[in-house]
Amino acid sequence: MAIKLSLGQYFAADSPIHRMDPRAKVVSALAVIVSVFFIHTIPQLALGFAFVVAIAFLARVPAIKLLESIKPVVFVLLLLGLFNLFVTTSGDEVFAAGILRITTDGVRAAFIYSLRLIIGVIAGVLILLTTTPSRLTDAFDAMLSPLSRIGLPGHELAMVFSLMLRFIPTLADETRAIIDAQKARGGALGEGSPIKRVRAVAPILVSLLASSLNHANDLSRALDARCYVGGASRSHWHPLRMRGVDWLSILLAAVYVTALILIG
Amino acid sequence: MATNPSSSSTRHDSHSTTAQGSGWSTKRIAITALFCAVAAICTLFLEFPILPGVPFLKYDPSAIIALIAGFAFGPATGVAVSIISYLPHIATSSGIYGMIMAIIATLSLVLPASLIYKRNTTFKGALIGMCVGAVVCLACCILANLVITPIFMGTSTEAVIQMIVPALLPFNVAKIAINCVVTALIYKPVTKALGN
Amino acid sequence: MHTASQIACLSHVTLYYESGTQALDDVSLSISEGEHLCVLGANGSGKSTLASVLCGLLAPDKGTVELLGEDVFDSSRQDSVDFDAYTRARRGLGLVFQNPDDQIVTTIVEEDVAFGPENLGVAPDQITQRVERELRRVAMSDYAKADPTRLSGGQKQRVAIAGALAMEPKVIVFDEPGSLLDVRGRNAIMRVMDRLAAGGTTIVHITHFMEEALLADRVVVLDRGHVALDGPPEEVFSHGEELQGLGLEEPFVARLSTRLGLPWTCDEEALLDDLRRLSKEDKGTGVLEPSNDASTRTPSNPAVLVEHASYSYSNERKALDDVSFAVEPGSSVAIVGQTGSGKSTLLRMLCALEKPDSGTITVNGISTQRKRDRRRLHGTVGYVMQHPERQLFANTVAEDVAFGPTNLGLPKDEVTRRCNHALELVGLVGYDDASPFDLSGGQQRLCAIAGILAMEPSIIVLDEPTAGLDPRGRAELRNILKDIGNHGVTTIEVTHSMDDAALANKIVVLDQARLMLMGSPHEVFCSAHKEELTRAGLGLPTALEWAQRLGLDSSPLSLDELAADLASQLARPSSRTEVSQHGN
Ligand SMILES: Nc1ncnc2c1ncn2[C@@H]1O[C@H](COP(=O)(O)OP(=O)(O)OP(=O)(O)O)[C@@H](O)[C@H]1O
Ligand SMILES: Nc1ncnc2c1ncn2[C@@H]1O[C@H](COP(=O)(O)OP(=O)(O)OP(=O)(O)O)[C@@H](O)[C@H]1O
Ligand SMILES: [Mg+2]
Ligand SMILES: [Mg+2]
Repeated sequence: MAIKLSLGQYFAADSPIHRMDPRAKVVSALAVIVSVFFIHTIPQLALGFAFVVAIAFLARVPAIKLLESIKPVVFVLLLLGLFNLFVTTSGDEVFAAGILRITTDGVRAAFIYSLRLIIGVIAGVLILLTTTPSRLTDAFDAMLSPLSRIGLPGHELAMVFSLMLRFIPTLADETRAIIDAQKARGGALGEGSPIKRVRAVAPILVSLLASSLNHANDLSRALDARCYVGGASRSHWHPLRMRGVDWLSILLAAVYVTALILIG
Repeated sequence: MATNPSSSSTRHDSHSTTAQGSGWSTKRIAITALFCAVAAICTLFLEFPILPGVPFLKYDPSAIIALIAGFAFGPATGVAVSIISYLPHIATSSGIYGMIMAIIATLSLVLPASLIYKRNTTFKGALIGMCVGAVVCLACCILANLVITPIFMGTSTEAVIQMIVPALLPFNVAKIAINCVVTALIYKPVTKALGN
Repeated sequence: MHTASQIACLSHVTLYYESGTQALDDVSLSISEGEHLCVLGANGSGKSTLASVLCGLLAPDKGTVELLGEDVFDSSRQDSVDFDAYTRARRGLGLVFQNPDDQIVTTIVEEDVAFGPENLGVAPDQITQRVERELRRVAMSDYAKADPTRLSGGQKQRVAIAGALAMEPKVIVFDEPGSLLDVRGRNAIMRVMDRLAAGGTTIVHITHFMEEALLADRVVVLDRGHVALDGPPEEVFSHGEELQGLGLEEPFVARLSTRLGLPWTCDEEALLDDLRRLSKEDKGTGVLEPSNDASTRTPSNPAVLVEHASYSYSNERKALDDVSFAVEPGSSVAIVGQTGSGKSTLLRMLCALEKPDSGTITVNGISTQRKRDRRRLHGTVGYVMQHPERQLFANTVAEDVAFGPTNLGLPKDEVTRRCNHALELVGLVGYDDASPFDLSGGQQRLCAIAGILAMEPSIIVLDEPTAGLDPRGRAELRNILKDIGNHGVTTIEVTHSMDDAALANKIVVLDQARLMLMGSPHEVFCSAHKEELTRAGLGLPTALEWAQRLGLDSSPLSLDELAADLASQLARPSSRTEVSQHGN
């Protein structure tokens, strides 16, 4: 079982996008991702692609990185495309065999509805490529701080998110070691009958949970030792500051979304 | 799993040296974070096809982790794990759609189950909780598919009812069943493992 | 009791964990400013608990605790815990512990160092200063922007130290900071600690290595939660027998002086001077060349044959590069190398968990090339991973041990027989129905090893099996391995301890994915290789190091050999016997 870690793959570069305030970046990206579902026509699709590709260009992210991130989605896109191809029955018939009926509308739907997802994926990936996990956490913290005002643990949840990102690689190594160890004892994951597969998961989960609890005990000791008090006011080494550019980029994203909806 | 240790200490149960204010303790933060990380690991690396030869119907045990978090540390922790561990998925191939569907599926299983378990912290309570959770989860999955999937796929609700629900329903049932069965299987050793 | 120069003062401190374990039992201890204190004790004797109490992270159940002049805890008070005092005291107390992974909380080195000062509310420009200063102090300035998860264990641990130092603590408690590191990493940590001690920081150092304790001003030995011995190193270590009963040992120098029949000492320099003086009087001519063992020739029927094996995880760098060696059946092999040199990767290949990208590996005559063969080999090669206790999962010890044999498809009574036998081998008879999670740390490790032994492998592969164990635990494990070796099982072990490596029949030295040296301990550890080994981040066995410092021509690898060599070089042994009686 190959464990490939693509998460948190920060791509270090100096670009306007890298320098953007993480809050502005996250808000804009979310707007772009959600707006994907308003895309129903070819011009909208074209506009969407133009926009994210322009951003990727501005961010100096090499095309190969983007293609890599799209690769795992291709299968989903194909499936989705086929589905639309066969389900849509309106429009002129292009091809028919038995109960299969492919129409022009079907082809169009298959094309638009699968490709539009790529726009969302690129927007999501660009966030990770251009923002360090700790900046991302800062943004998350800022966006959750209203929760703290109404008595919910906003700051704490942001810390949880940040620590989760920090511990994913560590636990990934450990998971691999545990899978190896169980494999060497004859408990192979993802092999054999469905029942066997499910059975093989249980030992790995118990081991992982036990060891993650040990990590958690140590981690809480480390947090205490460094005087972290959940939710308390702390100073920030690099406080977040929204500059004019950041407001401008939010505005730009808003303009893009409006335009996308209007031309539809 | 909620450990009720018979404390032999004389003065105070907790040896904490920080006043318990409004915020979460570092211990709670650390445990939630580690459980989130384990659940995220499950979705990223531990997924495997349930049926040999059907590579795209993949199962991942992340919901089990959320369920155990809910049982052992209360519904709030369960909810936090059910949501936070899927957030990184917005930047992976599952995208926002996969993320939302996963959160709905996990949350609807974990929340009822852990609420029920909270009132009855025994293995039986866990079983009842999981049964109720399974029903709620199935209902939510169907509902979510009816509401969200058409938007995601760009098709009509009818088409989804015709094609997707019949295909995905058995898969969802199987998933929920596995989650509950495995949780029941590992309940005892996990209780021990988390007990100290 | 309260003096300004007192850093910490515990009196009659008792602490029970929720599980009922009594971790501290009537501990009274005071630490004065600038002191370098070392805490020793067997696994589970309460060292880490004491560290937490000293750092203000745990409030005890009984007694009084005073930290940095704050009366933080007094069980005779109405509110025994003074939270505000704890908060104030904690600002001046730093903690660094065993596993660096658990202490680093962010994904960028410099931000991790800034984390503590941020929590203290330090102003941003001051944080910048502190981060730069502390990273420089631990020699990690070049890695300020690096991702900690990509660093080696030793580097991570230095980042953790910088993180503690950035809070400008008056005391730093080090809880086994080097036990998971390789030789180079451990040395770097010791250097940082020396510098801190010289700079006046109070240091509390918890360790399982007696040699490190010699550097302290004062040694405290814990036994099941209470202070058994307390005093300067020379005094504490003079209680040799008592120490052994507590699961510890005397330092090498003390054992050597006893063995040679010289007056007991734990002052290395003094003993060296003594020996130099004596050997000058009568200098014999020793053997110059290391003896040539027969172990280098390829055995006709090797248990494991590695031929030109290469492997890489990604395209950037090879984790294993053209490695070849053979292992004779029934022999023991030690694999050494600095962190990241590819040891664990090699083990994964040997256990048929992965096949090499190029080259071949043959185990018991079966090539690991095909997946079906690899699965077959899982029954013959036992793999004890690093921290094997992490693989425990079952409800009871017996179930856990039975997991492997059951997967082999053996009949039930055979499984039971093997389990019982394996539990007997590791000395866990009677624990069958206990939960593995209720065992102590050392027992958990033995239980996990029993799980492998129960598969009755003909080859057993271990990845740093003794890391984090106390001297007694290490000795026990050594004996178990020797035992199964006597039963004809081939053992292959990765270790960071050169002393342990010297016990093997054959040593394989890896450096940066390549095979650097290979041969019997005497061939590998000879003066000619010293520089090479040092460059590769490794050292020499303690005995050999001593021999070199004494200018001996021979290369002894153990205390016994060193003593014999010295005896043969020193003046007539008869005259020394008198001293021996006088010395003890
Ligand atoms: N969080 C905990 N809950 C319950 N018992 C604990 C806890 N931590 C430690 N113990 C128990 O308290 C005793 C002392 O443990 P401690 O970790 O202080 O020992 P130690 O001397 O540091 O051991 P080691 O050398 O293995 O690190 C042990 O019996 C241990 O099992
Ligand atoms: N899963 C992995 N993915 C990518 N690279 C890896 C992986 N595991 C190890 N490596 C790299 O391969 C090299 C060899 O690693 P390996 O774990 O074999 O070293 P090691 O000698 O066992 O070190 P240590 O003493 O720290 O255990 C290292 O550079 C390491 O960074
Ligand atoms: Mg300890
Ligand atoms: Mg290793």
